Amino acid sequence: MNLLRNAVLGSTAVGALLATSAMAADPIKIGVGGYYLFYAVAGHIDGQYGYADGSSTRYKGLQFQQEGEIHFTGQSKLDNGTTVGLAVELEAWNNTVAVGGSARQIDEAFLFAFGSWGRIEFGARDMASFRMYYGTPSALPGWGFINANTSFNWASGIMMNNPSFQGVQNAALGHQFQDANRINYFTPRYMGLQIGVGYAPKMNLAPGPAVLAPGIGSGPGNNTAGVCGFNDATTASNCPTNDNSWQDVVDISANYLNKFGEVVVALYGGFMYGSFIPGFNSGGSVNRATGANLTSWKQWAAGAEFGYRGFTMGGSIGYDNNGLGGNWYTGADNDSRKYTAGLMYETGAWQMSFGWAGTRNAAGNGLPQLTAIASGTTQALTMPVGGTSSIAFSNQLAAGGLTFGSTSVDKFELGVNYSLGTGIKLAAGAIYWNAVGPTNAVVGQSWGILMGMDLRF
Amino acid sequence: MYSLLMRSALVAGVALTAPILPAATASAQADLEARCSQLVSYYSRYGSSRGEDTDGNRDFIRIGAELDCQNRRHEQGVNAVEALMKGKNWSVPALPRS
Repeated sequence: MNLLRNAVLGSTAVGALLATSAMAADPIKIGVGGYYLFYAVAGHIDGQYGYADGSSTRYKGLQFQQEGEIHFTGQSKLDNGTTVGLAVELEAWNNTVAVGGSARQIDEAFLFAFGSWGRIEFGARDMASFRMYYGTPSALPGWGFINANTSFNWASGIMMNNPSFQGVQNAALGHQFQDANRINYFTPRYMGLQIGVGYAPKMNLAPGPAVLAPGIGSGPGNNTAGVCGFNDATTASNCPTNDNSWQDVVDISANYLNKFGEVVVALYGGFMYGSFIPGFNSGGSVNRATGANLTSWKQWAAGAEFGYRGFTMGGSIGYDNNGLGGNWYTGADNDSRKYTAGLMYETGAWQMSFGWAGTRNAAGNGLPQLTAIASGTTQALTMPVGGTSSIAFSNQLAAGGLTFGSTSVDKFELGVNYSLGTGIKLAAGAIYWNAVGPTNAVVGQSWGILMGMDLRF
Repeated sequence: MYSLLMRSALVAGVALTAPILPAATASAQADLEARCSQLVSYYSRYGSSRGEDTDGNRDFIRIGAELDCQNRRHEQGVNAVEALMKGKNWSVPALPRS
């Protein structure tokens, strides 16, 4: 009897709870949205040459590039004023197969809630400090200076190999850590000021520029779906530590928005820190022959952007140690120092912009020579690095002798777009890249003219 | 007598409408606030695809309009976003149903 009464009370309580929930808000209904970008790029990319055997890669002067996502989003507003929802973003193209054979088909997947108390996000989502960025404007959709996680490049394999290359593509923080499982919190904006903080338990991905990290790497199994620390939406039943990965990645940033007369002002600053947790076996985090080593990952950036009567101008500076420590033997660092500035004007259906980004990296670990290329579609580059210090620090370049000297990459971008209707744009532009360094493994130039379309739905 | 009558009627009229006018003004302000929020959200949603170029949420005319609305310059903000949309050949969304 008691059992029955308890069961009745229990069911009543559950029923009351369900009734309350049902009455509190409409259930979550999923809506579909997304975007699609397409460009035809025509121009020139310098070829790359392996000096030891004369092998080479040449590039076509015309390329079609596309990128898109289908977004499934739903939310419901509770009686207490808080809105709760979720978002799942499906790639609208066959993505690159990542290390470990993990195709990235779901880009982001996360839960969110927001109200007068701010906004919280939980799941596979961009870092808070990435989204808070204000700096260099761009009228070229999908390109620009903060276009993390896109394949919109126009560069050779060795240009992308340059330690400074990623910096001109990503002026904000955390582009290497896009979409890993994390929690973000944004405060309400007060007197123009908003603060964003984020935390990710683990990042298990390759260190910054691979060419500066010969013989070392995080892992094992870095960036594999189903492994804790994967750089996209995934789940794992446990999370190993002491495995040469970055953990407890914390970021904090603030931006300020205000309008003084007709001038709109946006200021931004952000910082990120991820502790490096070495494995019990020191192999992997240190190369004793070259002195390359992994360390805690640090980044910061600061930017300013101003708008006045259709003009927008801005710029930013930034720093990224790429998760690499100063070289054990040379003492020189492997840090990227990022600079960017631009100007945009919009009137009627038109937007047009011109911008520059430059990154400098001292490449303290030294750079190898490009000796051979598996010519064809794979462009596998052979860049030997000495297995002993006596070779690595010798002039036996073909055997793996390293060359020391700074690297730089500069990028200039001209962008124009014309709005045809709601969420439909024609876009065009011109780009120029110049990658400089002390060896043939990191140098090259490219230029291109672009025409495309940008759809939002 | 006529002027006294008129004056009395005027006083009575003012007395009657006084409580109504602020309420109407408050209602109009709320409508403008809702309209501004609707237009700003709509422009953020469809103005940019990846969200990293300077349009949609990052467009500085839109940001200025949102700041105007937050600072109780609703009409200025609404006009700015509507002009932005029309200039870009958009269909301006209809007023939300109250």
